This record gives sequence, structure tokens and C-alpha cells, in this order.
Amino acid sequence: MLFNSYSFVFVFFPLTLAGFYICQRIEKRAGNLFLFVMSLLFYGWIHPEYLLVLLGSMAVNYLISREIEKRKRGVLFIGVLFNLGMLACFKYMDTKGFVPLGISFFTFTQIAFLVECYRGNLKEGKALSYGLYVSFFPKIMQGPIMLPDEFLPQLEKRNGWDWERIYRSLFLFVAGLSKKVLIADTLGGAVDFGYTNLAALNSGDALIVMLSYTLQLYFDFSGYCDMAMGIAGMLGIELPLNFDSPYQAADILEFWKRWHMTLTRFFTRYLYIPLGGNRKGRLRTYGNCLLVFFVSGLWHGSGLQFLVWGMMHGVLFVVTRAWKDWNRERGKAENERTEDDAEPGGMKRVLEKVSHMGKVLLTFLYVNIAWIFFRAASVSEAWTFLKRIGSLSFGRINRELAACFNLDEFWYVIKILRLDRWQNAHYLLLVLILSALLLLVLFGQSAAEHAKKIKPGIAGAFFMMALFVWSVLSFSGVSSFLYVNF
Amino acid sequence: MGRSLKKVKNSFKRAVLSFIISAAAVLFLSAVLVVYVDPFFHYHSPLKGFPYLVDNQLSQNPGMAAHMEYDSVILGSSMTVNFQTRWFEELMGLNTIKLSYSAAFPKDQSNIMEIIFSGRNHQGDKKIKKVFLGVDVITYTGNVEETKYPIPEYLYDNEVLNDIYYVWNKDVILNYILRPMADPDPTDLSNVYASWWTEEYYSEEWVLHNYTSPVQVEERTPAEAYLDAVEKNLAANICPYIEANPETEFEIFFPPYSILFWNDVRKENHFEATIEEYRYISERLNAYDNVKVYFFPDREEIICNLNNYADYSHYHPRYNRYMAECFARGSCIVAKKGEQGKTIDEYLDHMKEIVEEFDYEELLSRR
Repeated sequence: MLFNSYSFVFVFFPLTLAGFYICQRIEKRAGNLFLFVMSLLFYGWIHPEYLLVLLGSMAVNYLISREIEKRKRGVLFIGVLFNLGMLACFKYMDTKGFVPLGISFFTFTQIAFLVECYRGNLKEGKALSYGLYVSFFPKIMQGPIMLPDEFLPQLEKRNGWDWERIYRSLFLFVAGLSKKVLIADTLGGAVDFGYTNLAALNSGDALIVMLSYTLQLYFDFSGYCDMAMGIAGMLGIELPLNFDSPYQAADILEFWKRWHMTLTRFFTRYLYIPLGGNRKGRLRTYGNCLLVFFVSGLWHGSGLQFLVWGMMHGVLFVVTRAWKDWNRERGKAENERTEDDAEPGGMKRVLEKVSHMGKVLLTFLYVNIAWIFFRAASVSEAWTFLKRIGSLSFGRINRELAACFNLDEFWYVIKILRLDRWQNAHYLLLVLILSALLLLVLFGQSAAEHAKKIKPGIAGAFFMMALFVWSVLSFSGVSSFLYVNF
Repeated sequence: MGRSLKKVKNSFKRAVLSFIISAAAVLFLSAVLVVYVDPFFHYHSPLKGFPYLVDNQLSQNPGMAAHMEYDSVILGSSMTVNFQTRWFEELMGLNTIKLSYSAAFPKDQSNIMEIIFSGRNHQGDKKIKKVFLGVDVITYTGNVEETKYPIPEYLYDNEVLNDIYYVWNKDVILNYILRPMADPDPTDLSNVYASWWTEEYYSEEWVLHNYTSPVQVEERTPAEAYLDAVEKNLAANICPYIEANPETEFEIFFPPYSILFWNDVRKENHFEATIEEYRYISERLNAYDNVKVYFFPDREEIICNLNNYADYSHYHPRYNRYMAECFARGSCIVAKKGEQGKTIDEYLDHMKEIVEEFDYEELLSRR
């Protein structure tokens, strides 16, 4: 089931919310049991056959975890191998489209559980808590990837209904929903057009498509995570933040601290550190980083293009890190010689700001280019795309590409302002929408931050209502096809 | 302290409730608006005076079939979009509705006939008098269950719950209710779905400019190759409606594609198979008492002059008028077995003669 569907918003979620609080009143465990059942229903809604895979995987993992509690390294090894094997089997082998949804996420969730069990960080695991930890519906499809010690304690000490928490969570849900439905899906139209008509794009068009995809991916994924946080929040569970305005990062190290944060955390904890982290010399550290990005590329999708994407990030990551390490050492030496000016002057502050912005933009540009490999169907398609940009043929923006941004809802505004008579009116929304979104991701606050600060008020509630209704009405559209032939 | 905290909590409660109540109210009103105006005629016949925009065959045909007033129907592909229903009134006294589906497959015709024959225009004493069905042979060789485009199921079934896709639909509200209100330009139903080509597109130069002759296929498609699929399509999607509705007359017609269509057929090396398909469909359907078959593909004066076309198959609207006149007069009709008149074999012999004797090289050299 999708969050952005009528059945979720108007049937599944209201029923889950009401049922949960009723059960919770009767008995805390009843509330958790109810959530577990609803989570399975959520997961199996469209593809009941995937539910069998999930249940099977959960059962095996649970049994393994019971054995591991005795700190058996071999059992942990088998457990991790089992999970990775399942993932590899469904994701990278030809299973004729049978790829259980969210398998990348619930596999990692279970690996985290096994490792923590092995390390003795978990109290005795109850089957129900374990089941809910893996299957909790707000996060099962796309994360965030939670750690057991972050999730399980919350099941024990949950509070009752709290209007403030409900309001803040509702805000997050509505914000996420509009990010996904209104913004990401609009950009998606332009991106799909671009990638299916590569040959027709000039350099300007290709840059627009590249930027659109960068924005689409962020608004889609972070919108989903906002919704997940909102939904879980209403059920009294706090999900970890997954996106912290990542495009405002000034270098790639910072980017990975702010993009898909729970994945970075997973890799750090369960791959980077076990490999030795930064404790085995500098060269080994850089090697470990590269390996993490290699695995990350592999995890994100099957296809060489994902490895290229991963390695693009990996290489810059290592270079940046080496540069920082080197600078730190040099800085240390210089600091010993000269005392820094205590007060940075006004001019210096401006310069610092400018240089910071420059770094942010350069990082953003690099991330943009890397996303081309992430979106393209193959390395050669990504290469063709880059060549379109590199051809430096600038001309009029493709009309059909611009049309993807001409949302019907703005037709009235343009008509009222009489802008429709202007010859470039067709391109107006493209420029306005992309600029606004760019400003938003480069300077704006994340929805989660807003949610913490938002004050209750009627005006705010109406604004949320407007976004919500606008999104709901956008769940469904009228498809029209070009009737040209026959 | 306790009181102020309570006050804050109350203001959160008020905000949440304001959100829920206002969202429910606005969504309710949107649904009421859609049901009241009903731009896809899913619930009722059109409101008097509302400037309805009709331009979406997939979404609006089922509602029009169910809730409009008519006694005869035009069905078919884009070969039928340029018929004006007022001609049918003028020539035959029929109150006709046009329910074309561009590029339609037989299953599309079946879907809409299902609605037509279970609708209010075919209940009790009221009967559909005539169905004019254009048959494009190339669409009868595919899968029986396949529609050309995915159809919006919620407009084709009687389920109430999935109507949510219709009543809470941004496109419906913005493009089919608010925009017509702001900028009224009601569709003339007589000429609904008419093609966008203006006069200057109907020229040999334009047609040849956009035409690429296919590569010659070496292997010849056997003459009977298509008959199995065609038989299945007729049996599943067309014949049941003819059999179940003996009071309705089905005027089946084969439209006149240009000579370039036949160039394709020759080059793709399935000429005999195509001819046999025409023969089979014609014979099979003409065997019913309530069917008349019209054959236009061999109208030499039309098909050999590309100035009558906007592309290799789409003819000028004046030939829609011509065909309507033929329906009224009974010309170009295929004689039933044992009756006087031109038989399908004779029509097809003529067709073969034209196709075999035409100088394609000369025509294509004019590019």
C-alpha cells in the first residue's frame, strides 16, 4: 500500500490509528499486537505473495537471534549470510519481477538486529517486539533503517494520545505528502520525458532534466520519510531523521551525514567500523571508505551504473577526506607558529560566506552529475546524457519539457495576470518552479525542523488543509493519449 | 503553570480538529461539485446550460453512452471521428451519438457496446435503431482482451467505492468543471473528437513528407494467417452484441485508406492475408439478418489521390460525409449471399486490381 493513496489516507490509517489507541487502552501489548497485524496487512495489501517472503525471513532471523544470544560468532555469520543471500537472490538474480518490496530495507533492519543480539546489547527479545521492529509499516518499505535499541525501548514506554504530538506529526505527514505528490511527481514528469527523449535534448534541456531529477529524488525520498515520521509519530513512535537538508552540505563528507542518514549510520556501524574504521592507518581508512561506497552502490540497485554512482561518491569522499586530513595537520603546524586573529572582521565574514556558498554549489553540482548514473538505465545512457550536456548546444528550451511544469492549477493565475499573451509564458512556470525549489533545498529548513517549531493556529491548520486537499485531489488524474495514428 | 500548559494543549487540539473538519468539508464539497456537474456523465445526463468540454474518449464515452439521449451510435476508430452526427439526422432522421475510440481494438468496441445495450436508450420499448461500426482490419488480429489504452475502470463499472477516483480528481475539477466555467467553449457534440488537421494538411506534399515506405519483407504471410485471431475477436467482442440485439441494425463499414496503406501491405508482404481478412469479416458479419456491410477501400477516386488525406490512412472529412450518404442510399453495400448486387469477392477483385496496377514508384518519386 502506498501512503499517497485513497485507501491508505482514508481507510487504512484512520482505522489503524483508532484501533491502536483503543487496544492500547486495554493492554499495552494488545496495542503492539494490533500494530503488528496491521503492518502485515499493509505490507501484503497489493502483493500478498511478498508477505510470505517477509514472514519467512522474519521467522528464520528470529530463530537465529535466539541462538546468537549465546554469543556464537558462527551463528551470526550464518544469519548475516542468510540475509545477504536473500537480498542477492531477489535483487540481483532474474526472479522475473518477483522482488519483495522493501527487501533492501528489511534485510538491513534484520542484520542490525542480529549484530546487536550478538554484541549483547539487547535484553531478551520478545517475538512480538521483534516482529514489530522489522515490519512496522511506516518504515518497512523505504526506511529509515532503525536500530533495535532505538525502536524496542519505545514499545515499552509509550504514552497515550497527545494532541500536540498529533498536530506536529500531522504537519510532517502533510508536508511529506505534498513533497511527494505535488513536487516530486511533477518533476518526475519532466525527468521521464527527458530520459525517453534523450536525443531531442539540447544542453540546456539536459541540465534542466539533471536538476529536476536531483530535486525529484530528494523530494520523493525525504517526502516519504517525512510521511513515515508523521505516521509513526501519531502512533507514538519516533523515527530517526533521515534527511537533514542534504543539498546544503559544503562537502561530500557532510552530504553523507545529511543524506539518507540511517543508511550511512548502518554502513558505519556494521561495515566501516568492523573493517577497522580509521584505526588501522590512513591508507586502510581510505580503502574502507571506498569499500563502503562500493557496497552502497551495489545495495542501491543492480546494474553497473549504480557502481559508477557509488564510486563517484567514494572517490570524492576519499579525496575530500585526505585533503581535510592534510589540512588539519598543516593547520596544526601553522597554528603553533602564528596566533589567529581573534576577531574575524566583517570583510572576512563575507568572504567566508561566499566561499561556503561556493563549496555548497560545487558539492551540489557534483551530486547532480552523479545522480545521472543513478537515474539512467545503463552506463551508456548516462554517458549519452553527459554528452548532451557537454555538446554545449544551447537553444530554445524544449516545449514539451517545459509543458511538464505547466500545471493546470496555475493556468488560472497566468490567465488572471494576463501573462498568457507573453510569448515566453510557456516557459514561465519551469523557471519559477525550479528556482523556488532550488532556493528551498539550498536555504530552506527541513520539514522535521519546522514540525518541531510550528505553533498551533487556525491559519496554519487551514494552510495544511489546503496542501492536504490539493495532494489528495492529485492522487487521481485523467489520462489522455495522443491520438495520432488510427 | 498547569493551566497555561493545558491552554497550549487545547490550542493543539483545536488546530487538529480545524484541520480535520475543514479538510472533510472541502473534500465533501469537491465531491458534490463533481457529482452535480458530472463532466463525464457518470451519474446523470448533462445539465442544461453548462458548457461541457468533451475531448476525452476513454473517460467520457462510457458516461455519454449511459446517460445521453440517442437512438443510433457511431463506433470505430479515428476513421469515424469526422462524422458529424447532424448528417445522420439530416439524411436518415436518426438521433445519433458518436463514441469513437482512436486506435480502438475490438475489446474497446465491446466495452462500449456493453454500456450502450444495457443503458436507458435500449430498455423496454426503446431500442437502438442503428449502430454504425467502422472496422479497421489491422486491429482485429490482436489479443481478444486487449484494449488499446488502459481504460479508467472506475468509469466503466458500477462499483461505487472506486468512484473516488472520479469525484476527488484534480483534472476533473480543474479542466472539466472550473476551466469551462472560466472560459466557456462548449463542445459541439455533433462534431466531437474531430481531428485537428486543418484544410492545408490534406495535401499530397504533406502526406508524402511524413511517409516512409517500409522495408520489403521477404517472407510472405500466408493467406489464412490472420483468420484465427479475427474469428476469436469477432466471436468475443462483436458478434454477441449483433446476436443479442436483433432489432438493432448494424451498419458495418470498411473505411478507405489511401494507396500508401496498400503500399505498406505489399511491402510487408501480407497482401493476401489482408484480403482474406476482409473477406472473412465481411462474410461472417453479413450472414446476420440485422447486418449490412459497406465496402469503401476500393473507391479509387478517393484512395489514389493523396490530396484527400492528411496521412497514409486518414481521409478528409468530406469522405465521412460521402460515407454517411452511402449509408442513407445503400451504395457501396456488399450483397448478401444469394442476393442481387456486388459481392465481396467482386469488391476484393477490384481492390486487388487497383493495388497491383498502381505505380507506387512514380508516386513516391514525387517526394
